[in-house]
Amino acid sequence: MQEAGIQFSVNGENVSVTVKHNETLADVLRQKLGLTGTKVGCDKGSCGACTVIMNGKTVSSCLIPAVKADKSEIITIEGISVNGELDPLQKAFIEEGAVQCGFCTPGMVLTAKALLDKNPNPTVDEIKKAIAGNLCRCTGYESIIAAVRRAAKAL
Amino acid sequence: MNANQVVGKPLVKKDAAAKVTGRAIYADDIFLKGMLHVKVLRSPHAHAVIKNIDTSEAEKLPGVKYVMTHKNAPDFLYNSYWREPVDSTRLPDDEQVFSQKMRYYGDRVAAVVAISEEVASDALKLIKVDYEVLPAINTPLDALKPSAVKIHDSGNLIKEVRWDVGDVDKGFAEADYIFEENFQTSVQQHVPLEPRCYIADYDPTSEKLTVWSSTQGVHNIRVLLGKLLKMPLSKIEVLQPFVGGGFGGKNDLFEEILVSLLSMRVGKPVKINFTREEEFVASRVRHAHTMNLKMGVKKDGTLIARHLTAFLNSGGYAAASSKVALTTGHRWIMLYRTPNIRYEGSAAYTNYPVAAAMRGFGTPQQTFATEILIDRIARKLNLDVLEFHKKNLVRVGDYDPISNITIESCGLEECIDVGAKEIGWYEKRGKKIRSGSKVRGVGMAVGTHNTGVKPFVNEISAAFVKLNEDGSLNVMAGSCDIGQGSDTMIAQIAAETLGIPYEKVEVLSGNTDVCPYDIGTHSSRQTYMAGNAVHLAALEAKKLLLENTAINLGTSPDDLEIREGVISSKSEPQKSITVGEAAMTILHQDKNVQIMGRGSFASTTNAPPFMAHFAEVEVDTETGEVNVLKLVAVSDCGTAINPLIVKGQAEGGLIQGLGFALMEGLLFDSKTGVPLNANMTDYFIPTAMDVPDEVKTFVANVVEPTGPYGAKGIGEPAMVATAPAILNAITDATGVELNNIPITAEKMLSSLRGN
Repeated sequence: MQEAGIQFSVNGENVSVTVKHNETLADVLRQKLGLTGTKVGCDKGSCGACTVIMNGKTVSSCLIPAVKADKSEIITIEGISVNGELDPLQKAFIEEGAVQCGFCTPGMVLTAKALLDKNPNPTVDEIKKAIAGNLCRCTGYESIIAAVRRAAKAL
Repeated sequence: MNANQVVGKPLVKKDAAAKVTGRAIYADDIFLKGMLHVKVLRSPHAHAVIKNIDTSEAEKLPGVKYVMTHKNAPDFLYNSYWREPVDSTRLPDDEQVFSQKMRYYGDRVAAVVAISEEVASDALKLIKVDYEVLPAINTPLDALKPSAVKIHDSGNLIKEVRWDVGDVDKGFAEADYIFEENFQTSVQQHVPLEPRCYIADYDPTSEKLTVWSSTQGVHNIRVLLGKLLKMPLSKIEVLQPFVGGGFGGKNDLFEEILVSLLSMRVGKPVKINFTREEEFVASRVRHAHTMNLKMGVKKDGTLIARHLTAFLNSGGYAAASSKVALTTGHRWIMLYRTPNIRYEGSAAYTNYPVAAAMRGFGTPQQTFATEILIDRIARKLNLDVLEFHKKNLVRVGDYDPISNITIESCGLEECIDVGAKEIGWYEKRGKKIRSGSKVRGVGMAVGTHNTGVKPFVNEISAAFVKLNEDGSLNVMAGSCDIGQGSDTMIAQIAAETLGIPYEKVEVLSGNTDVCPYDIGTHSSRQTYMAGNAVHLAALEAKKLLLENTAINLGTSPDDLEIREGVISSKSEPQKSITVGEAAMTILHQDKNVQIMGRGSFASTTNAPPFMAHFAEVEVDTETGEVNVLKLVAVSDCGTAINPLIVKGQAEGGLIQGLGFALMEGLLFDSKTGVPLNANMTDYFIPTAMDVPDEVKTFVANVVEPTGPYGAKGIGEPAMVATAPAILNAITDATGVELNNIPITAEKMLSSLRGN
C-alpha cells in the first residue's frame, strides 16, 4: 500500500501526516489527528455526519481521499469555537434544543456555518436546502432550522 | 401555574455543549493502547447452512491475530433480550455467537481480529465458505404454513397471544354495522445516525472485563455477559459513552459478547465498529405487521365489538418478539371502551432481519390499522370522527383489564380539541380544496403507549446522590441517556427536590460499577422511573441534611425549607445557612456524616401517555406526490419536566412518523430474501426538505398522580399516531383508501388510478 506525506492546515494549525492512498480525510482527521468531532455515519457520503469545510466549501470528508487534502485548509467542528468561546451558531443550537443525540450536530453546525458565511439572512427554504444533505433522525429538523435563524439574527 | 424552581423549565441540556463542540465521546471515538479491530463475515444468504468453512488463508495474512467461527466459538444458546431468570420461560434462547445455520442476510459467519480494519477486511475475503442455500421465507403467513421449511427446530411460531374481553361473536351479532379490512406495515429500520460500536478489554491480572457499548441499557448487557461468560457481575464493567440515537435498536445484547470473547482470547482490547449496511441488516428492525381488523358499531357510533388478528414478521431470531406481540394487543385493547374484544397476535420466524424493539413496540403498527378503520367508519356512517373518538376512547377511572390498572390521568379530549382547532379541522375537512392538479385534505389519529414495561416485565430503577461539601450534588443514575435527555431530566428533578440550583447538579449514568440498577432506556420509562428513583434518593439526602442542620440552627427539621441552595427556618427566616456551609459543617465537624441518598423505585402501575396527531396534506394527482403541509401533535405526557426536551421528542416523533407513512421500508428480493436497499441512499429517511411548512406541538394540561412531579412518558408515543393521521388526510383529499405503507408517489398514483 502506497503512502504519501501531505501537509495541510486544520483549524488554523499546520499539520504534516503520512497517509495511505485508500485513506479518507475523515479517517485521517479522526484516527491520525485525534479530531473525533467529525463523525462517520455511513462512509458513503449519504448522511452528512462527516461534513467539514474544505477550502471554504462543505464536503463529505468520508468521500475525500486523504491525499486530496494536501495544501488545503480544513475546518472541523473543533475549530468553530474560538478560545473556548462558543460561536453564536453553537449557542443557538443549544438554546433551541437542537441537540439530542448529537451525532449529526458537528456536520450540521458546519453546514449551517458555511451557509451563514455566504448568506447571513437565509429564509427557511434556503436553510432547508442547505442542510438537506445533513440527516438527523432525532430532532425532526424544526429546532435546527430555528437555531440557524436565531444565529442569523444574532450576527 | 408552575410553582417549581427547576422542573417545568426549558433548561439547556447538560450534554449540549459537549456535543456541539465535538468534545462528546462516542464509542468509535475511543482508542485504547494496543487495541485490535474486528470485522465480521456475514451471510450473503437469508437462509443457509454452512457446510464447510476454511479460515486457514485468513489466519496467515500478516496482521491477523485471531479468527473465530462456529468451530472454535462457545456454542451456548441465548436470547439477546434476557434479563432475569423468568425470561427463560418467555423468551426463546435461540441465538448463538456463531451458528452453523444462517437465518437472515447478515447472520454471523466468522470474525477476524487484526491490527487494523483494513487488514481484517482483507482477511474476510480469504475465508472460504460452502453454503447449502435453503428456501427463504419472507412473510409470517408463509412461515406458518404447514409446508414451510423450519427456520428453527422448534418450528416457526414464536408466540401466539390470545386475549378475550366479553364475547366478541355475540358483540358482532349485536352490531348494526360491521367493518373489516386488511392492513400491512413496512419493515422500518431505526437508522440512528451512529452506527453501533463495541469495545471489550479483558484484564487477565484482575480477571475484570470492561466493555464500552453503544447501548440503551448497560445493566442488561452486564447481566447477560455475566450469565454467558460465567463471571461475577462485580467483575464486569459496562460503560455507555455518548450514543448517537437508538430508538429501540440498541437495547439488546449484540456484538458485546463477541468482542468480550475475542479480547479474552487475544489478550488485548478489541473493537468492532458496524458499517451502515450492518447497522441496517445485522442489528434490529421494526416488526412488519400483517393485520386483519374487524369492528362492529351501533347506529349511534358506539363501538360494540373489535377483533384484531396480527401476524408479526419477527425475522431470523426471536429476541423480544413475544413481548411485541403482547404489547400490540395490550395497547390496542385498552384504548377504546368496547364490551367485546378479541386479540390474536402471532409472532413468527422468517428470514428477514431480526425484528425487536423500535419506537412504539407494536403500537404504531396496530394504531395504523385502528385509526384508519375508524376514519372509514365515520366517513361511511356520516359521523363526526372527532366525536366518534371522544365517545369511545378511555377516560380517567377506566380499568385496563390486561395490565390490571386504573387510568389515573388522561387528556385525550383536550388533545383532540386543541389539535382540531390548530389544524383548522372544520374549515378544511371534506372540502377538498384544489389548486390545479393538487388537492388538500386533513386527517387525524390518536394513540397511546407505555410509561414503563409493567405488567409484562418487572419495573425498577435506582439512583444514588451524594451532596458534596460545597453544596453541589453528584447523581449516579441507573438509567442511560441516548440523546433523549434523561440525564438532564434527572438533574432537574434532583435540583427541584433538594432545593438547589440546576447548575450545581452533575449526573453520571451508563456505568454499571458506579450506578445502581435500571432495566434500560426503552418503553418511554426514564422520566417516570429514573425520575421517581432520583426523587426518592434526593428526598433521603434532604432528610439527612435537614436533620443535621436543624440541630445546628436550633430548630426542628419540619421548620426548615431549602430554596435556591439556602436552608432557612420557616418561622424565623433569619436563621439560615447555605447548603454548602451546612454540608461542610456536617461532614467535617459535628457528626462527620456524608450526606447521601438512595432511591430504588418499583412502579405499581403503568400510566399510559396519550396523544392526538393531525395532518394536512396536499396530493398532486398528476405525480402522486404527497406533500405534508402541516403536522400537529398534542401530547398528554403529564407534566413536561423540560418543555424544550418534550418539544424535541414530539417534533422528532412527527417526522419519524412521516417517514413511516410516506418513505420508509426495507425492501427484499421476493425469492432470495436478500435486502435490496440497506443503505442511506436507497432507504429514505426524512431530510430537512421533507419537513412540513408548519409543525406545531402542544402539551395537554394533565398531571399524573404517580409520576415524578406529575410526569409520564413521551419518547415513543411521539410517533404512534402520525402515519394514520397522514393517510386519513390523503383519503380526505382524494377519496382513495390506503391500507399499507409507505405511500410512495408511485403507490399514490397507482391508487389514484384505481389499481
